[in-house]
Parts: sequence; C-alpha cells; structure tokens
Amino acid sequence: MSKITYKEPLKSRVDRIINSENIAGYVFILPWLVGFFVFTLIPIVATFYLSFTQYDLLSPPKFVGLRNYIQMFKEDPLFWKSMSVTFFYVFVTVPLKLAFALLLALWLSYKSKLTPFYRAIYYVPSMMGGSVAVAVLWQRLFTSDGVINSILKLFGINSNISWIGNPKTAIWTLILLAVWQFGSPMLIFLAGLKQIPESYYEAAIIDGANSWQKFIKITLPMLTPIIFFNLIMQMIGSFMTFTQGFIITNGGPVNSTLFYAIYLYRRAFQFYDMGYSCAMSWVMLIIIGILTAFIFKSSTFWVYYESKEGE
Amino acid sequence: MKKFLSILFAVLFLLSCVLTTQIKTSQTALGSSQSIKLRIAWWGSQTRHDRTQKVLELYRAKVNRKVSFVPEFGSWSGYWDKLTTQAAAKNLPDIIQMDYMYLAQYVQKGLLADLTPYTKNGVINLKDVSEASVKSGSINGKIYAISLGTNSLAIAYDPAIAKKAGVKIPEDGNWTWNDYKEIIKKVYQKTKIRADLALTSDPKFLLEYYVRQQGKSLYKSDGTGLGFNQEKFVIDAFNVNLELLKSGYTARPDEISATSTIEDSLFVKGKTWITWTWSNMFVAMANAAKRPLALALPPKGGKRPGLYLKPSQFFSVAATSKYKNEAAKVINFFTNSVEANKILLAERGVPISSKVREGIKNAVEPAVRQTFDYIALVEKNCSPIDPPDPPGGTEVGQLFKDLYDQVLYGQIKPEVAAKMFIQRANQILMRNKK
Repeated sequence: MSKITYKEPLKSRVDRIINSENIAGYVFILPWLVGFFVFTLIPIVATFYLSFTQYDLLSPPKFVGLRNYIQMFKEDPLFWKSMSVTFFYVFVTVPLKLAFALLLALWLSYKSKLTPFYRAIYYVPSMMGGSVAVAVLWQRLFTSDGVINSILKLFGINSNISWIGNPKTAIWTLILLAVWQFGSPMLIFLAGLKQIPESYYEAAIIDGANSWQKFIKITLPMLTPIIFFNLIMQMIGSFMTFTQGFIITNGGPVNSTLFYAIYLYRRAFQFYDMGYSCAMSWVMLIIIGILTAFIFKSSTFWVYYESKEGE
Repeated sequence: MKKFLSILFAVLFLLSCVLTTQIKTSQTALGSSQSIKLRIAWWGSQTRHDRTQKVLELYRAKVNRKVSFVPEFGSWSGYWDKLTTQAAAKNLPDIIQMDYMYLAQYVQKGLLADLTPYTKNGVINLKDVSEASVKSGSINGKIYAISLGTNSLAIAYDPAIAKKAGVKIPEDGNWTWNDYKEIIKKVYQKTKIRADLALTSDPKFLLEYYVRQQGKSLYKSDGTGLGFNQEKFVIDAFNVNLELLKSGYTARPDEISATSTIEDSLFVKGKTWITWTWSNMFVAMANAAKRPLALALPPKGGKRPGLYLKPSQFFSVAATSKYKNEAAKVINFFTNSVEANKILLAERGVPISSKVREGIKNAVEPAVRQTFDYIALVEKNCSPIDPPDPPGGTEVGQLFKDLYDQVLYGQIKPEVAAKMFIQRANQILMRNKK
C-alpha cells in the first residue's frame, strides 16, 4: 500500500479509484466472479466448442463438425432411450411432488403447537437431498429381502420382487424417492400461503363458502405465482437428476432408469467420448430452455399477480 | 474513511491469499532439492489402503529416507474418472496402479513410461518372475507395467452344500458344460438352494471364456473388431444361464442386480451355493461369508483351455514423471521384498515372484493359500492371455450387459441379442481403424 502512495502524481488518481463507489463492490465480489468465470462461463463456452470435436480426454480434440449431433439423432438408440426415460420421470415426478408439497403445506399452515416440529421433520428429507447415504438406504429398502417386502408381508402380501431390480418397477422407486423429497417446494408454498390476506377468507365465510370452494377460488389462484416458480425450479432440477439413478440402479435394469445425465456421464468418463457428451449437454440445455420459455409464455394465462390487477 | 478501510481489508485479504500459496510453493521448491516427493495412486478396499501405506512407510524406513509419498487412493469407480482428468491435465501421479483393461489405451496415448531399461539395468528385478507375467504388462515388446499379482477366473462354491446334495465338483476342471448344468440341477432338487447366474455383466467373463475355448479371442489383435463372427458362440454363452434360470435353478437377475458389494451378494449370504468370480476376490468372499468355501476350475470344453493368468493389476510410471528411476525402485520393492509382501499378504493377487510366494506361504491365512493352490492349478490348465482391450472396449462391455440383461429379463431372444451384439460391437470397434 505504502509504495503506491509515495508517488505524488499517482496519489490523486489512486484516491479517485479507491474512493469510487463501485470499486469496493467489485473487490468484494471478486471471489465469486472468479468462480463464475473459471467454473461456469468458460466451461460452458468450452463445452460448446468441444461438442463439435472428437475428444477422448487423453489426446487433443479433433474437429468433426456436426458429426456428434448427427450420430446422436440418427444412430444412437440409447440417446433416445435415455431421453424417453428422463421425460417420463420429469412429467410424473414434478406434478406429483408439487401436489404433495402443496397438500402438506396446507396441512401445516394450520396453527398448532406441534406445527414447527412437523415442518422441520418434513423438511429433513429434502435437506439430505441427492445424498449418497439416502440413495444407499433406498437401495436397501427395495431389494427382494428389503424392508418394503417385509412390510407387505405384515399385510399378508407375499412378495419377493426386487423393486429396484425389476425393469417395470425400478423407475417408480426413483420417482417415489423424488416425491419424498418435497421439503423445499413445501416451504415455499408455506410462505406463499402466509401471504394470502385473511380478509379474503373472512369474506368468503360470510358468503357461505365451504372449504373446498375457499381452496379453489381463493387459495389456488393466489398461489399461482408460487406454483409457477416451483414448477420451473423442479422441472429444471428433475431433468438433471443424476445421483439417485447413478447410485441406486446405475441406469439398470435393462436401461429402465438410464437418465440423460447418467448416459452423458457414461459417455464422457467411461467411454472417453467427451465431445459427444458435450453435444448431449447442449441438447439438454436447449430442451430445458424451450420448456422454460414455454412455461413462461403460458404463465400469462394462468398466473395471477395481485399488483397487475390493481393497476 | 470507512470506504477506504473496507477496500484496505479486501485488498489485504486477497494479498494474504496470494502470499500463502506462494509461500507454500516456494517451500515445496526448496524441499525438492533435498528430498523426493512421489505421488502414488491406487484403487481398492480399506484393507488395501492400510496395507499399502504400511509398505510405503517400510520403504521409507528401510530403503530410502529421502523419498516421501503422497498417496492418492479411492475405490475403482471413481479412480478412472479422476485419472483420466489428471491425464488430460498432464498431472498424472508418478506411480499409477493400472488395469489390464486400460493399459493399451494409456500406452497408445503415450502416457506411460517405458520400463524396459529399468528391468535391464536391474532397478526392477524380474529374475524370479515368469515370462507370462512380464509379457502381460508389455505392449509391442516394451514393458509398460509390472504386474502386482496373478489372478484368474474361478468358480467358488460351498463344499458343505455340495456334500449334502451328494455331488462332487472336480476341482481340477475335468467336467463339461453339461456336467455343470446337471450338478446345479441336482443340488437344487436335493437342497432347494439355487446357483448364482454365471458372471453376466461383462463379456470379459463368461463370453470370453467360452470364445477362448473355441480357439478364438474376444477382440481382434489390432482392436478393429471382435475376434470372432459366430453368433452361435454368443447364443451358447447366453444359454448357459438362460436354461438354468428358466427352470428356477438360479437366482433371478432382479435379485442379483440389487446387490453391489461382495458382502451383500447372494452367495456370501448363503442364498446361492455356487458362483463365478475372480480368484483375488475369493479372500474377501471367504472372510465375509464366515464359512469354508472352495475353488474349482470352470468347465472344460472346446479346443483349448479358456482360462488364462491375468495380472490382477499393475504398477506403471507416468511418462511425465520427473523421478522415473525412484518410482521404478518402489515398484521393485513391491515386487521382490518378502518383508513388504508379508504386509500385503497377497491382497492384490498371488505375488508374481516365486521367491516371494515361497517366503510368505506360511504367513497367509487359509483362504489366501487356497488361491495360491488355485493359481498353481490354473498354470497347468491355461492358454496365453489375449492383448489388452482396445479403445471402445468399455462401450462394448456396456452393450453386452444391456443385451444380456434384456435376454435374462425375457425381453428378447438370445438369437436376436447375439446378432445385435456382433453387429453393434464391430461398429464401435471399427472406429479404431485409422
């Protein structure tokens, strides 16, 4: 520091820079900026270039034009399989999870002494999120001699199905796991429910509305911005599901749980086909982009903002 | 003033970050003039991590105080991802545990050092090592990897149950595929205990064994295609399991696919009585099962023995290593020191040096001695190993697993799967044509 202030002509300039409004801000966000450029922006750009190359990680990338994309769409049955598995998973999981989260949020919005306790309890699964421990636990629950079959036995159902080993049921165990982790959308719903003015309900009660009518006519419309937000976040998250499928079933049995992200990972790190998997990640980015744009466009028809109405 | 202070702190903070890293680097630069830091990477179980680190300590104490080690270890699944990334960044560890499956690829990319000079000048002593073991780590006449132990495909079974059912398994391998099926059938009928599906997940197991028995190899020697084009071979290999499965004599694929560790496997839990394995897994199996188990050679048939002696894993030296000579000395220690191997206790497979084998024979537990005897049996009943897997081998393996799964789950017929396998596998391997 002292070195800089020695030189007279520099002093005023340095002072000006140091005292400027922005510089302190920039210095403080520098760590984040570095992280963003080094770990996000540059890799994204690099991925785009690499998606046009053949790159096995060990030797330098070779430019091959659109070959990866053509191979993907024309010659690769697993690409389509992983795409259909992922779409199925997203379109089943997201509505189920949101419905479940909303249901519990409604229940937990009633005031009682135990409510804070329940809120914490229900949030725990989503805190553990995509953790390996939960995945391993899930694997144990659903094997042929797992807990689920023991419980079924209590009800007189003798089952020795291995739920995660059966191509018909494996994807459902993963869907169940995702729905079980409903905590974070639930919390957001709870916050949304608090925002709805009590007076609306009071007016409805005076008009003689029952609780179903209150829910349909007041709660749901008032919650649409929250639903909109949760829908987008959950959809994007579900498309990128990796950990659960990787650890519990590793894409099997018979590729019935081969999520897009798992296949992409396999291509990159097991088949040493980095160029191809970069191309795959760009396809996924575009798909998520289109779907998000679609939801945004459609939101004008079903999302209700109080502020707009007031203008 | 406040603003000035906040900027001052921010700058000081950044400076301190930069300074500490610089101090660190200058320390290592200083240190390297006196001592040598060797990075060494391996995969394996906790037992292996513990034993390997003890050997490295022994090396420091007995051989060279100046060498210090930076171990990088983990499990198989993460190991190769990490190593690939390190290779891409030209930052490979000095000593690398290498697998037969990846050896050719790494050599082809010029990532491994040629160890031939070190074996010639005696830094790595291979006097007591069989020609076959040395060859297994060589490509085009140059030695790129030193085997750490010998391994072979094997059948493990529960002798108590075989006895109960009144069947005798010829451990020297004098049985046919039909005998194999008959025995499994008989044991099931007498005891209601099933067999495991013979190793299904990888063509390196059952299919390769069968193909080799017919006098062919899994891959062409130049790696541009499969080494055979008979669909019949694939169908036969599929059918060994499929027939038994259909009659209910083996565990179902959905039960098996739900287990991932040795401790979890149906065989260890006593739900099946016979299984296929690699001989170096036998010790872990026997320890987990806590009951006496036995090893037998797989069924004979065809033109020649399908078995081969496989290096369980190697040590290689990175081409970028600055301390190749020091690294070679460490590898020599693992290969030839009886004292080191008394710590390792054949955890990596049967030691390749006959002197070491003799030296530790009385120190090892019974299950390890069983594998010693088994490997001795294989030595008399084997044919030479095929060249390492070509690039694309992993993808072919995945393809095989997918198709075999579909067959076992009853989704497609073996004939269809066989046809698809040969066609798609050749397509994948064609990319190796330059």
